[in-house]
Amino acid sequence: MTPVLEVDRLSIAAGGRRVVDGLSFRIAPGEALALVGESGSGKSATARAVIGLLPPGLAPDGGTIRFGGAPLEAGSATLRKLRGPGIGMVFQEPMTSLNPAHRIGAQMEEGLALHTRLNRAERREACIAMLERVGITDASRRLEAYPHEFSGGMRQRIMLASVMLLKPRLLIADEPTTALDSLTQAEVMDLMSGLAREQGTALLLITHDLGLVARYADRALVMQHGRAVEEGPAAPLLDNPREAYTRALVDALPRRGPAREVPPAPPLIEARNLSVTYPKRGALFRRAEMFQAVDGVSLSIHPGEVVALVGGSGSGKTTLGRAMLRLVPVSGGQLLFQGADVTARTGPALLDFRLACQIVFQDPYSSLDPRMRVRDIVAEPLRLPGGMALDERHRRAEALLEEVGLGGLGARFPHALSGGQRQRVAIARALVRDPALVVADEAVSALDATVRKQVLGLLREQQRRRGFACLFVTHDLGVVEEIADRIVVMQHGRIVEEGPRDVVLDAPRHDYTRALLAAALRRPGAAA
Amino acid sequence: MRLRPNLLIGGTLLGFVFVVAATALVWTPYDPVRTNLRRRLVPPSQDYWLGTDEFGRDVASRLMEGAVTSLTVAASTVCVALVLGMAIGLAGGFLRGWTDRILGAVNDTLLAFPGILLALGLLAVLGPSRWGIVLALGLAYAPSVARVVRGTVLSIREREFVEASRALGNSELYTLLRHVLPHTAAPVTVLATSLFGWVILSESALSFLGLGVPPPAATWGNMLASARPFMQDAPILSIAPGVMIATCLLGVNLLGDALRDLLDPRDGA
Repeated sequence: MTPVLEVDRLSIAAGGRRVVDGLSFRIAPGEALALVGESGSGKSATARAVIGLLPPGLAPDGGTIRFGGAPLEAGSATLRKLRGPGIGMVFQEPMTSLNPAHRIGAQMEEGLALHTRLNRAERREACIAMLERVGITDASRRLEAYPHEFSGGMRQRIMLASVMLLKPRLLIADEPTTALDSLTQAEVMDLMSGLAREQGTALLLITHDLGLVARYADRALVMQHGRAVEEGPAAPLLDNPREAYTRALVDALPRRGPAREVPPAPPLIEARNLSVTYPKRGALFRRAEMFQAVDGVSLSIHPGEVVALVGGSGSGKTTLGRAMLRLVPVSGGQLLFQGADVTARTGPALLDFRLACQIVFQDPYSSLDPRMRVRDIVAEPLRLPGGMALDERHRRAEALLEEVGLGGLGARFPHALSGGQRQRVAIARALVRDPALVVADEAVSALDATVRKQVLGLLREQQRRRGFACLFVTHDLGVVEEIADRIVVMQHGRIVEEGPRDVVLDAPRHDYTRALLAAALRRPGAAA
Repeated sequence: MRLRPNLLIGGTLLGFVFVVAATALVWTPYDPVRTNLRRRLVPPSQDYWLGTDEFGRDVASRLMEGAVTSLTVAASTVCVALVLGMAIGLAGGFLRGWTDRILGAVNDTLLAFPGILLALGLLAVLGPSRWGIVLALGLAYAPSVARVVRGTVLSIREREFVEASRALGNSELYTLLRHVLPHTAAPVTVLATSLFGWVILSESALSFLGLGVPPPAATWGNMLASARPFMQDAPILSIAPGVMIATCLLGVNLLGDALRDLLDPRDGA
């Protein structure tokens, strides 16, 4: 049988450097192939070369790409006709890949109008049927809606629907669910592989996540530095990797550590019936409607304990994490720190509380001031307790940078560091004042698998050494396995389940926890 | 760091203008305000490098004197506009809420006037004087600075490092000055350089209407304005100040571009 796609010794150059170097692979009709690799491995460049949409600066540098037996040439008219009905593509960022100025109906119809002879009514009918297929209820009315009226997961489904409308023979999905939380990710991926199977579409899945590969791909091709490292049927490849690099990737999947006993002590911080409400967007003089983000939550964290706060997008977990540091206004309930009420503290008293608590944010690209040198960023928290000379602060910052594996990089600006290094800087900033409590808000979610493992390891090692309590906010139950002592699950602003890690993971009581567990991408074949 | 051509050319042009102005402070070929009606509209010669104007005053001397006036007026005006505009923009953008609404409304009202018209109105009240012009043009251009600063602050204040600064326990004022203010440097530098040009042009427009720096003091603007009737007979009267204005503006803009690049740590490393 002719393969749908046949890539032969493809090379792509950026400037003088090859980002893809002699890569060959083929995809049979209806087959799902995963291109696996970390940032910079050339996997996205390969996908874009196939559809002829290489970004400026990248250019093909030899090799051939055949689609259904016929060679594809970048920029040719055949390629343009193939985009859509031949090859469809789903992008990573659902928030920006739909045009916010057009109704989704119009955007979905565009491809049909260009590539088929259906009339207006038929196109509309096809769109409605497809929207219903991807699980958007009330489809005929929703065609008139604009992208901003949908959540990220729904937008990704709409994107998928508009691509699959044209029944492409090959679907390229470039990190399609990286921007989504784990529950939504599982839904979108199930939908995608279901649709592909129904229509006999071959799937080229670009991902850094081995968990996805295990579940959704028939074959996998592991890439590093633009070259193929290992290729083969997905399951055996993950169970028995032959190459060291694949082995490292598999090892980077979260693994449960031994359970720990936290010595009993009075709680370090305690939330009692804590509520946070946000005004929904209101008009100038009208009282805005209130949205209950956190709804009467009670949670205590003991000294030296690592508590994982788990939930999907919109569950209120991030808001709770920030409310516990008094970073968002609390609308009801009490917050006690070391037994003292800090709910309404202001001024110097609030500062005392702030000095004892720290936060690590999700996105290391926006949580560091781009105009400050790394050394100054890490030294900044030492300014406030007072009484420490500038060179002493810098000395401490340098020492801590050394400790987190960034020795000698103190004079750099954040943009000159990788994502993992930046997150280490953020961790160093959080730890330099020796806080009693650290809130880690999705602190490793934006990182590649192997980097995530390293950063998680660093966080755990520092936690063991310094003994701070940690509230680890995440949507990913897999990460929780590695680090948490106790797990708290949130849904719709309330806590639905709470307990020691092994109990929650092995015997979940609440349906929502079970759904999260089912969606979590864990080490294949390694159940507990 | 590689040498940027815009830094080199801009620096040279502006340096030339400054040297001319500095020289004028200590020496000019003739007294720039002394008239000599027997030597009106003399073409350029060895005695009068750029000729004389309709009152027999030496054009070269006036041009040098004008450099001093125009540069001080433009620089002071830009400073006034920056200080006012940045204060309004920072306060509105960072505090949001009613402060922002009120400041924003006032600012938008001022923006709706053409700058020159606003300056005209203010000058009618203040009377034409050097510092009146600085104040009037400064007020007229402050709203556009406020606009740019507010926009930058709005986008920066949502970034997580601002929240991180609060989480460290830093006060709002410290956060504003340490983490937000520096980010306005790039857009404000670019705006300031173009304002510099606008002010020199506006000053000449005001001079043209008789509201500029009062005669007999020389500015490039009023030299240009009074040269208009003699464009045919003595084109040098218009060309000389025109070339100086162009040189100065080009220098300022190129230098501003180079400065913006230098101020951005992403390019500096």
